[in-house]
Amino acid sequence: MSYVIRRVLQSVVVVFGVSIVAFFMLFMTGDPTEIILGDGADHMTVQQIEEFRVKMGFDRPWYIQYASFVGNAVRGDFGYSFTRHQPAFQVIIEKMPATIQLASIAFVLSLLISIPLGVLSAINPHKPIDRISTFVALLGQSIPSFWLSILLMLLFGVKLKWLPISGSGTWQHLVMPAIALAAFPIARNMRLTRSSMLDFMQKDFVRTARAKGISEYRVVTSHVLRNSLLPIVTAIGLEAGFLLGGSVIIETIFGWPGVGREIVQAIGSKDFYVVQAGVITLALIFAVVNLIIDLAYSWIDPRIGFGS
Amino acid sequence: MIQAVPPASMEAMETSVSNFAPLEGGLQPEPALLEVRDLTTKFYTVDGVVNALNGISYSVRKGECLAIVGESGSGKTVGVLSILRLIQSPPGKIVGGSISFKGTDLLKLDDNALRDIRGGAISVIFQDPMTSLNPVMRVGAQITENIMAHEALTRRQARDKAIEMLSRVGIPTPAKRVDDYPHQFSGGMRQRVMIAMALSCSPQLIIADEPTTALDVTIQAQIVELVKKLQSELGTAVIWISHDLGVVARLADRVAVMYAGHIVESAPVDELYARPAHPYTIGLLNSLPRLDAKVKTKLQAIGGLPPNLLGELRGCPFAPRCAFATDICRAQNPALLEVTPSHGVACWHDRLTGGRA
Ligand SMILES: Nc1ncnc2c1ncn2[C@@H]1O[C@H](COP(=O)(O)OP(=O)(O)OP(=O)(O)O)[C@@H](O)[C@H]1O
Ligand code: SF4
Ligand SMILES: [Mg+2]
Repeated sequence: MSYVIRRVLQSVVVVFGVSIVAFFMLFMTGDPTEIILGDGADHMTVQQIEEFRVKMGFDRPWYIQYASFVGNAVRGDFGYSFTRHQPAFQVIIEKMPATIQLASIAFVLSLLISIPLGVLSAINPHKPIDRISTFVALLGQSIPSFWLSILLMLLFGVKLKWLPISGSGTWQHLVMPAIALAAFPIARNMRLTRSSMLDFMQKDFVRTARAKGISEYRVVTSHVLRNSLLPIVTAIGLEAGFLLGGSVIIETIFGWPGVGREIVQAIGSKDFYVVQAGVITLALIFAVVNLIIDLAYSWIDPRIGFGS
Repeated sequence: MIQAVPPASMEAMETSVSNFAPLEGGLQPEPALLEVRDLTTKFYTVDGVVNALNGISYSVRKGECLAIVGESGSGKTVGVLSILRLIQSPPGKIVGGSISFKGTDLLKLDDNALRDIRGGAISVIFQDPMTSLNPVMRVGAQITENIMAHEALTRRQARDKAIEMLSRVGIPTPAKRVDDYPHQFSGGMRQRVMIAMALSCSPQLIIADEPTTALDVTIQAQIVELVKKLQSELGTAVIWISHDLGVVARLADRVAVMYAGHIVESAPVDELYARPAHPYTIGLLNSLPRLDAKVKTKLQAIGGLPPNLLGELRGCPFAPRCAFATDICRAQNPALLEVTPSHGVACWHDRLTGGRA
């Protein structure tokens, strides 16, 4: 149990780190007074603007501002959105379902495609199925996701008119963003599954398994694949971060109304507290997913115990 | 209604006949359990063809223990793994010969029939107990899996049998240990688990590939005693590969000496130790402090290195290291021939008869 507590503490540190970095970078780009005041600033004297700045606390050094932000945040108050005129955290929470929907579909899609393909490749090395999937994986890993998104849009949206180009509402809206988001994890996990399987197929215990007279299917599943899952599960942990981070780009391109797009818009309008709430929420999800993956890892590998 | 004699009683008759057959003089020898003829295995690697096994022949009788000795790389492992077609393929390929087990050629069996033999009538104990068990599977499940592949038992019954096997090989509190993972066992205990697994379906032949090399000396002795005891209890035939001539002397009925993918000498154990005929065997035995020594000695005391098996060899493979080598040795490889009954040597100038050339 102490292991779990330690991991949770680590996660808290990570979330703090992420929020400090985000806060500092945003601060470096200037304070948001002008944006908040908007056109109203034209009718104000420099004196008045300065008074507003002091009133909002933007005149203080960034770490003081950060400290007061944290002081409020731990009480559940993430500040107020300047542009949406509602609590920043609420802005983010409202966008969560769309992001989770997209990320989890991409996640499931990536596992359903990559692991079986990787296994097939590994048990038929250098056969056509292996060569084709390895080639496709290479493509999938080297095409940037924004580029793939645009290609998909041009082909299925503009040319064939099969799928809506952007927005949300129907399952058709999900198809292209999900594929664009899943492409890289599919490619990477497929290659990882393949190489991990090939690695374990050389192991002594696989020869032992064959020497028992069990079916080749059993050899592959309960001996080779089961062991190969260890490195794959590690990669999946990192993937949660990738999917959440990647969704920022994909959501923006496809106009998917999720947290990622909201953060991008908030950065554009210097909506400090929304950016903070968004970044912290994503970091929290990332930490929680990683914790779950860690627990899964020790479940798969009996040599790793919670105690140690 | 009288029917034709059912096959079962036919078998029984045959067995009783062979039980009465005179064993002396080799007039009507009991048919061998395993008969390997001209077994040839090559590895097709990027560097070229490795001639790992160059036509070896031997036989093992019911209940007999055959030891195979030889330097590292001489083809001992490839030789025995070829029996169950367990060599890594590619690059390995059995290119010739026959392996007759109770009259069936294992090389001609389809995959299904071969799987019935693997872990059933013939089982294997591998060299390194640390790497030969699946690290993420409970040992009980690993044994149960073997049992269920060959016997019509429920999971529950197979598990009970696994516990019984664990207790038989001397694992304390087997009912508890059955649910442990390999990393929770010491090396010696893991090798006991391997042995329990290998014995679980009452095999007629156990192949033990240096089962004690990775273990420390006291554990080695325990494992040897264990196998000896189980062998005499169960009447199982054993092929025991070893570097350790001390162990061989205690365990084996016959010894086959391998060199560069050939069997160069084969004889009953007392005969081999008392009257070795091949210069290589003599070298091996001279490297022992005393012929009946219990001291463990690695087979390394002969000057020079074994030949590279990449590509074809001409002549006797031992010629470059042999003090007795002549022109014919370098030109032609001698066949394994009996110099006295049941004592075979592959040498032009063997030290027992003075030679054939
Ligand atoms: N997978 C493989 N690929 C290429 N060559 C191989 C392979 N496996 C074995 N060999 C070759 O076959 C020859 C015989 O190897 P083998 O493992 O049978 O030796 P061994 O007598 O069992 O040695 P050791 O005492 O070290 O176990 C060696 O020259 C080895 O290089
Ligand atoms: S055949 Fe010749 S070289 Fe080979 S072992 Fe005999 S004497 Fe030595
Ligand atoms: Mg070996």
